[in-house]
Amino acid sequence: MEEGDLGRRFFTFADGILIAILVVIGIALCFRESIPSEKLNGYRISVVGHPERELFLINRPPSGLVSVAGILGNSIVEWDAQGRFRIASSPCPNKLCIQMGWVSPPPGVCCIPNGVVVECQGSDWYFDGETK
Amino acid sequence: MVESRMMMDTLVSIKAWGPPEIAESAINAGFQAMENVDRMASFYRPDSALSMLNHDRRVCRAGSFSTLMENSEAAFKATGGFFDPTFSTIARAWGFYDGNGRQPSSEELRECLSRCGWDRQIRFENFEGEEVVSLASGASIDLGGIAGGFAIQEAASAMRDKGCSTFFIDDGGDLWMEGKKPDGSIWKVAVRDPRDNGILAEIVSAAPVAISTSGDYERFVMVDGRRINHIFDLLSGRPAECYRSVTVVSNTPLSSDIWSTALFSMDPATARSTSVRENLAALFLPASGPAWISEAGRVWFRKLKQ
Repeated sequence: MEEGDLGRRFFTFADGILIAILVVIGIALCFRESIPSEKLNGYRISVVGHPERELFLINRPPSGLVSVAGILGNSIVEWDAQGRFRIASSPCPNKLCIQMGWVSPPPGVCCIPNGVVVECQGSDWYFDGETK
Repeated sequence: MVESRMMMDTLVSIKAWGPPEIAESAINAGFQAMENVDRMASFYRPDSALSMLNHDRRVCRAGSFSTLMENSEAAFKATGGFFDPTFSTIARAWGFYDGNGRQPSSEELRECLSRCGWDRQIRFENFEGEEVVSLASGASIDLGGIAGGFAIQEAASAMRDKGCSTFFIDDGGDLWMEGKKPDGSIWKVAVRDPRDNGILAEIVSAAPVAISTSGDYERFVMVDGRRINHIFDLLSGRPAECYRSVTVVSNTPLSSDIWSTALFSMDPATARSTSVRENLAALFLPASGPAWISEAGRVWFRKLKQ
């Protein structure tokens, strides 16, 4: 296989845009304004480039775990009893998202290679419960 | 204070506000009340009063079970038969109770339909000097469409008795809320959109309110790659397929539970005229086409997503 083929295979212009978007989201999550804890009661899980996979959780999931189909494969998001969450498992190569460990909301957590973003929802998304 | 437990085949959460000892005892009383209803009305527990009725064809008419049966009869009449716990012979034919979905033949469905109809299958009568509930031979009832609402009512009553005035009960998406939260904020509830798992609409209320949703997406069996939901058209014996979900806001958990089930099984024209006649606040998400809100529902459902 020639070098040019490898370049096209592993890094295209679209990949560059995707990575740039994810980096911006990551930075935005880190500097996100605090949500008062009594107004925090929801989470939004999204996958970059896959709006159909967006998931809203009004409360911590009963099992404490949610599996999210990302760009590379499934990421597992885990909650603890205090409402903290983390990416517990990810198919990404460097596992930086896992190394971030438990995150106390806000701001949120993301796995850049896998495109998985978990955000806390603030007052606009605050609900006492959901009917379904 | 909040606690969640698995019961009645779903996750039940109860939140209570107030002094911790009162909130804790109220939550325990609420769960106990729901457990009592489950023991009495469960289709699956062999020792429940309902199972005894289905098996023995006759049980004494006493206590909460009698109240629940009377409420079921009233619901059957009020909904013109669209709420009918005798659907269970049809659910069995489709494989709901063993989880093995199958397509019943037309003859089988006709046979099942002949065993449906609360007014024909259930009798409140005196038998050898005792007040009893009797079930016709071959018929079977499933109180799943009313037991949740009844359990919430019983739990709310038990919590009030413990001195708790502000609480929120979530029985797998059937909700009841009452009282005033310490921060003064009003109750705010999201209606889940089954199409994308997002939020279909919001409901806000300062007053006590009950909210129930019947949907085609949580309880179902698969038959030849088709999803068969748990609410049936009792004229044809086939699953009701007009809607993805129907949400009802009401002043009692029993009423919201019953009407969400009944409206789900109606065709759109009947559902529309019924919701006007009964002044029902309902949000309909059709199987295809945009969501719509009944006349009385317009003050309740906000920020409707299409």
